[in-house]
Amino acid sequence: MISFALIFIASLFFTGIVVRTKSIAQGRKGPVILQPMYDIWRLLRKGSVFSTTSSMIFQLTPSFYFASILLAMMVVPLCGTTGIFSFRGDFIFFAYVLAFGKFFTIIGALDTGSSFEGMGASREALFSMLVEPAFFLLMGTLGLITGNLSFADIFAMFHFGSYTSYAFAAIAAFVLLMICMIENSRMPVDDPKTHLELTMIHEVMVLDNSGFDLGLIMHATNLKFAMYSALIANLFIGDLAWYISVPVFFAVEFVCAVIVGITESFMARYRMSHNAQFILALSSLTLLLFLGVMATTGKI
Amino acid sequence: MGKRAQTFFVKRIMLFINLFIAIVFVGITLVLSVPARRTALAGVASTIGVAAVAITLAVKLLAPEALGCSACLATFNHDIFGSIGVVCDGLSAWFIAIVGFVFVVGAFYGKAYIKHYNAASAKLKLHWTSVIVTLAGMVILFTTNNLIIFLIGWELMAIGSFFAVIFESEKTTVIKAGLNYFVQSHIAVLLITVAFTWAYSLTGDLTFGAFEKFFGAANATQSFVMMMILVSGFGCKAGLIPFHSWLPHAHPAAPSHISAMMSGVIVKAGIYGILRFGSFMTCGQTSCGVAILAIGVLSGLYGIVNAAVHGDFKRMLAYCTIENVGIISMGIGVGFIGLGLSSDGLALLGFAGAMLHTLNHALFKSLLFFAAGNVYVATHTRNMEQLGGLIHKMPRTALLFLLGSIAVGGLPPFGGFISEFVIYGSFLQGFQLDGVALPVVMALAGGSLAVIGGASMMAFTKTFGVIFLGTPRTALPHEPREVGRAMLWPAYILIIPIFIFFAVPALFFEHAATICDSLFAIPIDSVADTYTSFSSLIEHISWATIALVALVALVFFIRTTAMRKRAVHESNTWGCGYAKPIKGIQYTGNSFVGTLADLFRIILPGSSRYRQITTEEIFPQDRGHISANFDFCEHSVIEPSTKGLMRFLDKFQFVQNGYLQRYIVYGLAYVIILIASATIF
Repeated sequence: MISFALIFIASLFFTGIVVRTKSIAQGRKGPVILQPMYDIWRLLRKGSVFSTTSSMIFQLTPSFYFASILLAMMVVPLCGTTGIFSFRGDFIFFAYVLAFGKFFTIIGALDTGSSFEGMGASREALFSMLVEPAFFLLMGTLGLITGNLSFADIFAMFHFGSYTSYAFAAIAAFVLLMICMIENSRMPVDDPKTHLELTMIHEVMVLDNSGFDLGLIMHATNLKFAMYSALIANLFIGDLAWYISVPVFFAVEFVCAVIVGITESFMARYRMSHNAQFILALSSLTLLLFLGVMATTGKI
Repeated sequence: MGKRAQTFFVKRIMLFINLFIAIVFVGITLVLSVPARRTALAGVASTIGVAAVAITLAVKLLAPEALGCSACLATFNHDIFGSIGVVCDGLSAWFIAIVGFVFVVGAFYGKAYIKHYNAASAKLKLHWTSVIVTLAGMVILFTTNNLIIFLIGWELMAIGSFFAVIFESEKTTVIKAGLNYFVQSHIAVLLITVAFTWAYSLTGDLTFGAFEKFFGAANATQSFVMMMILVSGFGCKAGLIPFHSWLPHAHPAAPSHISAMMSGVIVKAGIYGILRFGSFMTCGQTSCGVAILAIGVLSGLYGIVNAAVHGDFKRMLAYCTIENVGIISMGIGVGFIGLGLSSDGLALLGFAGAMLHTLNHALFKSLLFFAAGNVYVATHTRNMEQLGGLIHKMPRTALLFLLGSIAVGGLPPFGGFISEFVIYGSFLQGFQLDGVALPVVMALAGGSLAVIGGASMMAFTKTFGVIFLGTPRTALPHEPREVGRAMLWPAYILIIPIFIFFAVPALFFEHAATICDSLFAIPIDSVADTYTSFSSLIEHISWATIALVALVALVFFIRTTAMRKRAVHESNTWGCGYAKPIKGIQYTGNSFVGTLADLFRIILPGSSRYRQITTEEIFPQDRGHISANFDFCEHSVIEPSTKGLMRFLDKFQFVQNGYLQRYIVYGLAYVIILIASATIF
């Protein structure tokens, strides 16, 4: 419950920090940190326009998507507390619940019969397919290091005993951050702030959503950012006491947001056709990590 | 059990067997004798009768096992076949239950599906007879321990399903697909017969005991070779690559209820075979397990990638079956690895996962085929690129297809997730194995299962999206409308067990685990830990999935309440300022999976014809774009090799010259050679 609340609090500020970082990098003053939340709040109070082509599916999907993210958040442990649901192999459940949400976002996009949204849906499906093995292998590897198979146990046992575990944590953090970027369709795989035809994954899928539904989708993105950053934070928290771990959590969230902002300020988006290779490279990296762990645990 | 009770029991079983044989014959006679318009009814009634007796038989035979006696009880001797035993352990009961249920529901659906053919009396009679024969064949092969009877059951199933597939025999494509299936299922029979003959020749036993003795005496290599022959034979039926090429032809050709039966249960006969005969192995299981795991991974990836790109929705479902059989085989592979390394927990998880997925897949795939059949009946096309927006016309069918799509993709909250989770669990347990090779194999297999999950999401969002969402892509000859109630309620019935599984998955896991435990003689004590921890684990997951459903409902409720006060109006789909959208600008299924197809181009040979606009062409003419995808195995492996074989055999065509006299000479020459060789050696 505590982890759920903490992630929710972090999600309120995450995008604001990203936007502020970008504006500072561009020499602008930028909006207040809570501006994205004000926008979402405004959206939640607005009316909606629905396409005549769309069916009930279109109206259902944003809620399904949002609910799936909420449930995924409930699995994440934090600061010595387990998630609301915690069992062996819960990270598989985590991945599949997110996939459940994604399934509905995709069919929601297809429901409008638009050419843009179909394109976005196609890419979302492809990239999330390619990123699945990286996540499974990464968590499996962490499980192998610690001899445990649930988020809570893995992170509780993940100590910084030796230099190798620093290396593992660094690589794991990098992979998780990349997965986070891909799942949220941010740089370097997608640029949410360009013109439509260039923004081809997530933002284009929700072109037809408006009002309350769009607000849900926007906040789902914030939650996703905060949730993945919480996973990264978990790598560094271990079993510290709460008065250290809570500040560390917020620090990690802050750093992640700044990294996202800096990446978006100074990097160009990859070419769409290169994204597949980039994402597959992540899986190879995690496989290397797996072999490395086997080497250090004396199996090779 | 005392001796008297034993005799009494055998008598009761004999009664049931006689009843079973009688009801099969009565059923067939009934189908053949009633007037044409009642044929379907007779067919359904007979199917129910046969299935009911089979399921009762299974339950009766299971009873003594529950009392702690051995499973095989009723045996009687026959002059030719030797000792015939009626065996029914948990494994047989599990499969009979699935087969019986799917066949009964399928028969009800079939009655409505082919009601337009009521005039074609002979055709209907043949169809229903073959359905009954198929069912009877399957029940026989699941309950016998005699190798010859097993083959007879297998053959009844193969021939029965062949006739059921070629229902629309006036179409050449149907006949072609049917013959393809017929030939391939007999290659399966050939391979199985080779294995049986080998075991029989070494042991002189015609029961499963032959394999027990064979594997008892064989070394690891012999066991491996034997098992691989069996896996090729059974895999041919199950649709494992590279023996899968009949499925994508036969499933679209068959009527939908037959597709559902084939995909749901007939391919599972192959799984039964692998499990049954694999259970006799005593050594060499690890290498076998790795081989089966590898075949499973390849089938899974190959099947799902093909499912994603093909535009014929029944063919797509056929490829999806290949994928799911692949997943089942992954579980079986891990199970064998566990047996080989005496890692009992691992074996239990692998086999239980495979059994659960067998059940789940049978349910979901039948549901999907029924929904696909409804679409076909309403639109008379199987090409999804011609459809679109059907959810407005056929909301119930759309909902059924959506349920099936979520479930078959292994997404929570349905049972497919539980069975895949158990298989994932076995991979994760496999990480802890000794050595380097096996953990790496497990890691790769786990990663592949993750890719399969993702690709299956892609395949099913595409299929559902293109068929049911958006706007119609072409004008159909008839305005499609929702099918009648008779074609919907069999699908509703299929949902019941799906929801039961959703509610109490742990119960199913416990049953599957117990069955595997006794089949593979895994000591209960050594797996007690895995068993209890996993059944409580599955209970946890079950709560989490219920939470998912509740949360979805809650968020949607809040949303609807909040929306009530807001202004809502309708408008065109936002076309980025383009004011006159036409249906042609919708994303097509082919473009949806275009990038995926490019990524997997190595295993997805395709052709695409398009004439580029040249600079000379000042006023561009009408032009089209044709693209097609082929099956890699069929196109690049099977066809070239059969062509080579044909070219070679053509050289002997002079033998077949039409002169009766020469044929007699051949016969004479054969007899002389036979006698000569008999006297010399």
